[in-house]
Amino acid sequence: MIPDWLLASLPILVILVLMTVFRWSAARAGSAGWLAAMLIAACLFGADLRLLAFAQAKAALLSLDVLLIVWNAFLLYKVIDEAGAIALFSQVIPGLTRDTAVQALLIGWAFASFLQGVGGFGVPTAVTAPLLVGLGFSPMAAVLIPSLGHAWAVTFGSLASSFQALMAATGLPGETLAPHSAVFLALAGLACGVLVAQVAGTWRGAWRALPAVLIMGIPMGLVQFTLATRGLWNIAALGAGSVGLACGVLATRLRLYRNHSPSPRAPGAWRQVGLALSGYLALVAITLVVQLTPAIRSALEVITLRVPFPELVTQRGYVTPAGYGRQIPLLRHAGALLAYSSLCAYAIYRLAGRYSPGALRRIAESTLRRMLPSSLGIAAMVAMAVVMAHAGMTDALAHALARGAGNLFPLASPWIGALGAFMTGSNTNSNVVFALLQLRTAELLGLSLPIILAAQTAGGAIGSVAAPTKIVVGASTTGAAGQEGRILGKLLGYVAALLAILSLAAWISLGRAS
Amino acid sequence: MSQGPPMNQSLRLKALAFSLVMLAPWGLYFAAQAGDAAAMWIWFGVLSAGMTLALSIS
Repeated sequence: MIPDWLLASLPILVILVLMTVFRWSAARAGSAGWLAAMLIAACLFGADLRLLAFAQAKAALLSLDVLLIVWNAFLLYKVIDEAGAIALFSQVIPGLTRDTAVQALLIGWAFASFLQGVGGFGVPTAVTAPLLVGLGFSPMAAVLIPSLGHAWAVTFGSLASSFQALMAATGLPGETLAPHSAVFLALAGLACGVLVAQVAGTWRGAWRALPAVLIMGIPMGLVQFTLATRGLWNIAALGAGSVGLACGVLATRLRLYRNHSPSPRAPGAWRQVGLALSGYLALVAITLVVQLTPAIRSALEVITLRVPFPELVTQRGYVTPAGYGRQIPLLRHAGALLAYSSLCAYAIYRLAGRYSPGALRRIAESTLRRMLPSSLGIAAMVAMAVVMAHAGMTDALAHALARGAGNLFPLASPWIGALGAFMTGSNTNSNVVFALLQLRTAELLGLSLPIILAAQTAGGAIGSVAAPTKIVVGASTTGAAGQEGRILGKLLGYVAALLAILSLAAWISLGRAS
Repeated sequence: MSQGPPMNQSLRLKALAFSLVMLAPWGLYFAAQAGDAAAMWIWFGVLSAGMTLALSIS
C-alpha cells in the first residue's frame, strides 16, 4: 500500500519534474499540479465537491492578494524604466570607481539589490550583467555576481511580493514573520557581499574589499530589518538597496580605494539622477504617509474584502475550521499603494518630459505581456496548495517530515524553501507551496513558527537565484548562452554555502528561543 | 518582430485563461453556499477549462 505522504507529495513532484526535467513554464506545470492535487484530494483523501469548491474560492482570494502586488510592482517598474531612469542609473554607477571588487559590489550587490527591491522578476541580473561585461568582467562572472548579489533581497524585493505570499499562505501577520526573516536575510546579505567580491577577483581580492562589504552590508541589513519590522516591508529591500548604494559611493572615497577612483562626473548629472529617483521617492513617501498616519490608514480601510468560509471536513475526518479567508483592504493594500505611486511617478516624468510618444501604451502592453503568464502560474500553484491543505495532504506530508527529520528539521528548513524556489523559479511560489507544510511540521515538532518560516523564505530567496529560468535570462544578456550548465554548477556551490549559513542560523536561533 | 498578430492572440488566450481561473472560484463559492451540486459541477468545468487552456498555451 502506498503511504499517504507519498500520495500527498505527488502534486509537488509533478510540478518539480515538469519544470526541471521537461522545462515547462510555471503556468503549465502549476495547472498540471493543480489537476493532480484535485484528483488525489477527491479520490484518495476524501475531499468532497463542496470542500473543493470552497477551497478554490479561498485560493482565488489568496491569489488576488499576491497578484495585486505583483502586477502593480511591475507596473511601477515599467513606468520608471520607460522614463529612462534605469538606463541613467546604469550609466552613472560604473563611473564611480575602477576597483573591480568595489565595482562588483556597487553594481552586482547594492544596485542589483535596489533593482530587486523595486522590480525583481529577473531584472537585477538582466540589467547589471551586461554592465559588468562592459566593464571587463567575464560573462561567467557577470552572471554570477548579480545572481549572488541580489539573492538576499528577494524576499522583501519586488516590493515584498514573496513576503506577502508568506503571510497569505500561513495566515500569520507580517509583524510576527518579519523580524527573524530580516535577520536571516541580513546574515545572508553579508555573505553574499563577500562572495560577490570573491567572484570579482580572488579570496585575496575579497579580503581587500572587506571594508567596503562591511560599510555597505551592515547598513543594508539594518535598514531592511528596521523597515520590515515597522510594517514597511514593501520598501524594505528598496530602502536597503538605496542605502547600500549611498554607502558604496562613500566607500569609493576610502583611501584604500581612492587611487582607483575616476574624476567626478559632469555637473548636472546628479540632478538627473535625482529626477530619475523621484518615482521611487513617491513610493517611499506614499508608503510612509499611509503606514504612519492612523487616520489615513483607517480611512483607506473602509472597503475591505472579507469572505466568510464554513467549517470543512473531509470524509477521512480532517477539519479546516470556519473563518474568513484572506482579508484584503482594497484601498490600503500594498498593491494599491504601488498603483498610487505609479500614477504619481507617471505624472512626474510626464511633466518633466521624460516620455516619448506612445509610452503609456508600451507600459500597459509590457505589463500585460510579462504579468499574465506568471499570474497564471501563481494562481494555479496557490489553488494546488490550498486544495492540498484543505484535503489534509499538507498535514500528511508534515507528519512524515516531522517523523523523518525530527530534531534535525530546522537544518532542513532552508533547503526545503530553496528546493521549492529552485524548481519553480520563484521565492513567491516556494512560499505558496511549502510555507504551510513548514508551518504544520514546526507545529508538530513544537518549534518556533517565525524561525522556521524565516528559514523557509530566506532559503527560498537564496534558492531562487539558481533557478534555471533565471540563469537562462542572465546568460542570454551577457552572450554566455550555451554556458548555462557551467554557470549553474558554479552557482550551486555558492548557494549551498549560503544555505548552510541559514541552516546554522535557524539552529542557533531555535536553541536560543527554547 | 514579436509584435505581430500571433503574439497578440496568445496574449488574448492567456487573458481568457486567467479570467476563467480567477472568476470560476466565485461561481463555485456561491454554488457551494447554496448547496447546488449541479452548479458546482458546471463551475468546476469552467475552472478546468481555464486551467487546461493555461496548460496548453503557456
